Amino acid sequence: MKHILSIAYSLDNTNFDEILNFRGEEVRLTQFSTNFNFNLTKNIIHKYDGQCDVIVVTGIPPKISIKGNVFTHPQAEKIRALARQTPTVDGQVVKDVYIPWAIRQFYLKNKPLMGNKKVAFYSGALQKSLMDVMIEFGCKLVLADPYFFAGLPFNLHTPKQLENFVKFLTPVLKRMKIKRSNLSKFDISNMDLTNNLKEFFDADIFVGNESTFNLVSLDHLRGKTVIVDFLSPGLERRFKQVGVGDVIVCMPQVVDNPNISFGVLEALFLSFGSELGVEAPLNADDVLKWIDLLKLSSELKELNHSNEDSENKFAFIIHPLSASMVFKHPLLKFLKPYSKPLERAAEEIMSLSPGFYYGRIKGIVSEKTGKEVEGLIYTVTETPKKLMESDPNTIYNKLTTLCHNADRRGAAIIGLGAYTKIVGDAGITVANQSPIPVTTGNSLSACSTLWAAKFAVDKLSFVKKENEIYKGKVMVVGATGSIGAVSAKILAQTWSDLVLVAPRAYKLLELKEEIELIAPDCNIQVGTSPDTYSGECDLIITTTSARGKKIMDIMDVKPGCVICDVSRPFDIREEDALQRPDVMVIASGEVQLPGKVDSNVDIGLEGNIVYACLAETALLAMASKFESFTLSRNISYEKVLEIDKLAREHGVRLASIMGHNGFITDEEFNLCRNHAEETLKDWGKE
Amino acid sequence: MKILMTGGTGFLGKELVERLAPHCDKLYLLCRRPSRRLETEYSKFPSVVLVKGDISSPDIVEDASLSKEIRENIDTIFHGAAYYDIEGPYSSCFMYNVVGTQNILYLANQCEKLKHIHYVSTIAVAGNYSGIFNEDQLAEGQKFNNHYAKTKYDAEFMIRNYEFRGSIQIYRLGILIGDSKSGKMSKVDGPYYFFKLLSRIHKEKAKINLLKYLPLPYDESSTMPLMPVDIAAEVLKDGMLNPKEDGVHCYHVVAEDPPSVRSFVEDSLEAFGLKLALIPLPKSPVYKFILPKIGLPSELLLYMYGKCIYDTSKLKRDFSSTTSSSYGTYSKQFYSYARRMFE
Repeated sequence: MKHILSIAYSLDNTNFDEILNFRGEEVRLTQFSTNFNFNLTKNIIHKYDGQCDVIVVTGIPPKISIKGNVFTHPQAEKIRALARQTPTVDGQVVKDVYIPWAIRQFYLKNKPLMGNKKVAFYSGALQKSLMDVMIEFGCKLVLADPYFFAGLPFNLHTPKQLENFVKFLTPVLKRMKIKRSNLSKFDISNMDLTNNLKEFFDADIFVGNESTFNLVSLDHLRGKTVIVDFLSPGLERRFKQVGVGDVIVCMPQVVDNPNISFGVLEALFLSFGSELGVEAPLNADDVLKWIDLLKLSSELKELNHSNEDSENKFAFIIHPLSASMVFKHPLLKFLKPYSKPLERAAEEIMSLSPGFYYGRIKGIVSEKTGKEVEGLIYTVTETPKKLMESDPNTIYNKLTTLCHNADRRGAAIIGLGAYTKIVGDAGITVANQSPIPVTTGNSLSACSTLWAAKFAVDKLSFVKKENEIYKGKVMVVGATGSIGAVSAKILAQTWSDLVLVAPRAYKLLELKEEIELIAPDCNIQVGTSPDTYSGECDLIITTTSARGKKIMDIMDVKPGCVICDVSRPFDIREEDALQRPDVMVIASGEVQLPGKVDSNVDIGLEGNIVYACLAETALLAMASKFESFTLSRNISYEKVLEIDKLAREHGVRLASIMGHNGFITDEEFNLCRNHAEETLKDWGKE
Repeated sequence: MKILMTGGTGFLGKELVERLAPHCDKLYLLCRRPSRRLETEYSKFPSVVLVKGDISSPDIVEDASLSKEIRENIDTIFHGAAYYDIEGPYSSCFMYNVVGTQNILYLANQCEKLKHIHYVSTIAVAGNYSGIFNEDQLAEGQKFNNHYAKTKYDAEFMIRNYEFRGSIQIYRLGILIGDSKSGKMSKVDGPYYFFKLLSRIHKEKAKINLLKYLPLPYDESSTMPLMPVDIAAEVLKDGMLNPKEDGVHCYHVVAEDPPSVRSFVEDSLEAFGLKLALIPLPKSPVYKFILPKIGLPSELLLYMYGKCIYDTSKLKRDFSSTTSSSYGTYSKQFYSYARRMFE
């Protein structure tokens, strides 16, 4: 039986001894991984020298020939020369002929996958032949040789630069031993990226050989396309773990065994060479003969990893509520007593800093699919005041940077929290620049407010219900606005009487017609002033842009009415609301997430309760609906219905109702109902 | 029963062959150089056949016809050979522990009647693991401070992942010490280095005892996972004569209630007539350089500060009759022989 010894110089604990079948004949393939130990490699080779047919050594740098100059590493050369009787191969001859040809074949069949893409090579020097072909495809090269070999933070972009670099560094590299610690690991989790290296990690296609991938951290490959010469079972497992998108393997399936590397293939070509008249050393012509004989072609291997594994992260951006937050930092605590006069300065200084990763929220589990999602919380450094004052473009840039960061950390969607979503065009610019979808969360905010309104009406129970239809009157103030229109459309389905109020009458009539189409049973009235109808209504939704101006007289409102104030700043001032203890004024509904939510940062609320905009982002991640769901200030009726359906399915529910001063308790509801019952006795008698 | 045995000429192997040979139809004993001495030694067992071979060679057995005979006949492989030198270079450890084991497994592939594989591992595969180490655990991200442990770990990894239709029994041996009845020990190893050191200084015991205190690098909570060699051999014999059902079974072959490092050192000092109170020293990297200077292998430190507890519930379950050996029953003979050993 023919016997091939394979030594994986750069691997550890990957040993096997198998019999494989090549052209109907059994071959014994023994592999030992020597983990960069030269003495061990020497001992094994001496042991097997003369006892086996071919020795394969992989994981050592190949001969690099650039413009007629050949560079070899002396240690690699020494290893190749260890065996005296048995020929030693490293697979380079086959690689040089086969890979460029195969990748070209692949390119011709799958042009859009590769043409004009940004292609990152961990080392162009080690994969010179492949690099030359990729240039022909019009790919933009990013060669990380300087970083890979010497930890230098810049990239090369042309073969000419590479040539100069290799010439310059050869004397140094030749003196370095081949070992793991001399090479960079490309670990994005614990390094500060310079802009140059970011360019590398942002590439679309990553090219490396199997030994390279075994040496580097793979986290940055999530969702990317990878070109690799040979996919060993171990590497395939690691690729799946990090969720690599497509993998193009330039390895022909000659033998039905996952452990066949190019080195082993070359060994097989050599040991079975007699039928083709091939003798050691193998040359390019011999390889061509084999390719022809075996009818080889390239293949694309898609890793069928499940989406749940890889796309279970979302990101969310928040901001500090006030400048006093900065004095909560342990190092700045001592300034606390003097913080007041310093706040303005602190606000200014803070806003100069870029946004950063703040913490995470875990344990959100969908009730429908059981998918668990994790949230990354980012924060910008501007206070609400600063956010509104600054140039929107500055804020966009900050937000976009965070989007890129979130993408690298594996988030599939990002949500804009609180004031960050009202800057400028409310998310549109950010979404255009972000690599992942962006959502403002307004759809679920609107939705949860309507849930809250419904809940409050049910709780006070003054409105009778027949066949799920409220026999009462609901008024939407500001009905022609985006939230107003959506609320009106939704309420029209469940209420018998609807009043639309807005300053511009012509728009009102258009809206009325629209609503009549979708809710023919609802009796719709229109008006330009809320005061005409306020005495009859059981529920009032106000969503105006009156900017704090008084829009209606609360004294006219019917006792037991629920006023849902969606506007910010509020339409109903707190002191006005206090004058009518028999009227329930609510501001919004907060939602709770399904599962056992655990967060390592304080994001303002407790337990599973979160702001609706964060919940929307989490919900979209749970439903694997990675699209820019809600953008700009306008929300749409369809989206709100859709998010309502998703929320019910996945278990996102109304948790509590917020008034002007935080949560509204059951006692407050009871109190309000009692007051209302009292005043109702005298109501209308005056 | 027809067995191919490696490591049968070693310290533990000899004890095992004595016990096992009468029960075997054929016992192919692999040895690198079958000397006249070995031949006479084993001639009293008719079942024993000395086979010249080297597990680090791809084909192991040199003689082709003998090799064929072995492959056709054996139903059991006992793989106990290893490169046991905790200060040995990586390449030597790898050649015997990893390459050797792989070659044995390749040979196993060709044995059609093979039903059982017995493999001798070591508790050192737990490396620097802290906490209770189960008999089913292996890859826990532990680190190793010597090449012997690392390569034995790789080898056990291979054994466990070997696709085999029969049973695989893995015995992770503790620190082997002399016979539990006579205390007899034939080589200087592990704790015996310590006795060697004590034997050198105990002549001056009167002076040394004046010191009253002995500062020593150890941790109060660490224990010594000792195992008298004859009991270990009994366990192996028992395991081979009553093989378990198909699948992988692993046992920590460690004696019951192992002594703490403190009581071990105190008893040793007493045996050599030294009366010193011990002062534990905190862990420090300098001991690695100091210990070899006074004739102790630095690998002892792993046990002096060991935080790993080797769970033996499976051993107790499957070998209840053979392991009834507590420290108290053998310590006397152990120390008295150790004292005589260096005189």
